Amino acid sequence: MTRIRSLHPNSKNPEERFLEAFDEYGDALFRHAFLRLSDRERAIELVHDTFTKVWMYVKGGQEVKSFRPFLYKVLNNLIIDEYRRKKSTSLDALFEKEGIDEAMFDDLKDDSVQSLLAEMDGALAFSLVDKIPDMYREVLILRFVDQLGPKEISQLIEISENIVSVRLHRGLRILKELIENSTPKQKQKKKPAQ
Amino acid sequence: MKKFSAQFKKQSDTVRLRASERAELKKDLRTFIAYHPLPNGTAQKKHTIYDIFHIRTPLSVRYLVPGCALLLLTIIPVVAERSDPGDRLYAVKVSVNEELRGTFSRSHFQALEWETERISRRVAEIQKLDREGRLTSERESIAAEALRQHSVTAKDAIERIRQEDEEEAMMAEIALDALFDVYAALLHTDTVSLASAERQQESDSEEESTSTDAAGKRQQIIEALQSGRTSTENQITNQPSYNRLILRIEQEITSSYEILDSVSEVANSEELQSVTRRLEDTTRRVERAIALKSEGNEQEARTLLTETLTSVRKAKAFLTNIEIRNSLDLDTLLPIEYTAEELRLQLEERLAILLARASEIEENAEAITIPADVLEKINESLANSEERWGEISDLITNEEYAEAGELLSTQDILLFDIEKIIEKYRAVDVGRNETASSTANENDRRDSEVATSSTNNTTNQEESATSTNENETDTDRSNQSAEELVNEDDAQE
Repeated sequence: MTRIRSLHPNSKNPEERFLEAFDEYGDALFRHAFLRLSDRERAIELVHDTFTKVWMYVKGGQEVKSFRPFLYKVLNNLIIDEYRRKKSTSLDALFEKEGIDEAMFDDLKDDSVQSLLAEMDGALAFSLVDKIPDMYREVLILRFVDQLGPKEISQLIEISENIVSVRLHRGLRILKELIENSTPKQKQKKKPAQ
Repeated sequence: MKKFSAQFKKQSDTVRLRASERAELKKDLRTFIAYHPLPNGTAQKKHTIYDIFHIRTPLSVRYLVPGCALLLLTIIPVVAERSDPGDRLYAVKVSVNEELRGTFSRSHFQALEWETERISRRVAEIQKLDREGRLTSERESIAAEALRQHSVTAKDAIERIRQEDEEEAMMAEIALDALFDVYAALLHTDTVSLASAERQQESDSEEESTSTDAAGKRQQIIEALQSGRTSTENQITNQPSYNRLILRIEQEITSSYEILDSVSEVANSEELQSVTRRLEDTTRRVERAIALKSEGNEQEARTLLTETLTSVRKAKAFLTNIEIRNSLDLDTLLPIEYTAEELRLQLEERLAILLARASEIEENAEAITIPADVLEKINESLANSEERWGEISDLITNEEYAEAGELLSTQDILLFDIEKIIEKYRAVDVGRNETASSTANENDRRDSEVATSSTNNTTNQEESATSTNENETDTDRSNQSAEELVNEDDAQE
């Protein structure tokens, strides 16, 4: 499939290229939105909004050099807006509610990401990912579903790489606890409800 | 990590748009695009400069001139990329191509990354020139100057990073210094310079060579690298915080193992084992730092972690750069850090070897003729050593490995000296025996002549008496020469 390099208004057949982008990235974006929101219909709507926003951006005369990160950026912002609409508390309050102080890195000394991952079943972890707070779910999905590196994630959601690592680590720890506390019946379920 | 990641990804791939949803979404987007067309949707004739100024030019010129310009603008930079310091297009490579690429850096981190890449390029150019025997002092100066400029630019990028994040800037300095150390070590190796020296000798006979001496080669580059460091070697001025260091080291170790997996097919098993061992050493250092921190020695822990981060960066440079892997011994770059158990085993092995040597010395001393005073001294030394063996053994048991190692080295030197003396006396013994043996053969021959000849008894007896005297004189002479040997040895010692 031809990759879109530019959507500059002077490019040849920009409309077709834009639709090719949808063919290429539509599923990945939907997957990301659905795993974040656990709402299929709303995820489809956000994907639609993402592409229309990008189209309007290009129509305004702007050039998109790298399409994939730009799409993710727009989608991520829409998801954040969605959360702000849904929840009465802010994300910072969510921090306080969960007693999280991201300056405390002491827990990293006890176990490493590697040792956590070695002990966990990926399929089972996936089935429980919708149960962890979105702050951690976000980085886990970006890392293991969208296959972005810590640097790309930090640029996308505008936090430092260190905090990305901490959230990854904590998210995995919470998943591990959920796995350990899950019943055998739950362990048999490998797919989230769609 | 791969297994978890693969399983997680595989499950997530089952989440996708249904065909109907996809078709519906695409249809909506088409409708949206149709209602919001791009401005100037149809292709329009662009007015060129020729139309604006009503310049009548042949069609071929209209296309030829821009075409040639385009060709030059694309070909020259491409050709310049292959140039080396001192070549005509080298300035285009460094000042145009690379500067242009640098402008695409979106952040200070990317700018620093690019400058680091440029430093690597300069080192690679030097190595290439050296291999081909084209490294003149002029070329080296050009490359060294470029290196200095890159170092300055890299430091500027770090200063800009410092304004946003002080600790990140410290990490960047550590990484940059580690890189400089690696390249300085690489250029110090003799392999390439020796090969160049050989070529220099060959070319000298044909024409006047303008190459620099082998000894002074790359010295300018090495000095440029050393001056590029942000801090002097072994001096740690600013250190990031403990938490930050732990986090960064963890990230670096993780990525190092990932790189190790990816190069496992091209690197040989010995290299992979070496790097794995260094990474394990690093993990142990981190554990020591954590222990220090829990005891309240945070500053010491930070110092240890800073050194550890430098080691990890060096190991990564070794892993990711095939030129470094081929030219540099990892032991030179990063010596192995032996565990307490390994040290103990090494010391015990050394002790066993030295004890065996001491025992052999005692046996040899008994088997050969040694002057009494010398033998007394040897026995005295061996008797003193008996105490030392016990002392060394206690030190090993008490895990005082450094001191045990020093004592073992001392004992090694002592035994070596004794072995030298014994060897010399053995040589004296052998010489004496050979002389005595040849003299005895001569006596036998003459005795037989005496026995068979009755008319020459008197003469033969006189002759045998003379020969006996001669034998005694010979023996005295050989003994004297042995003593002289020993006296000479004593005087030398």
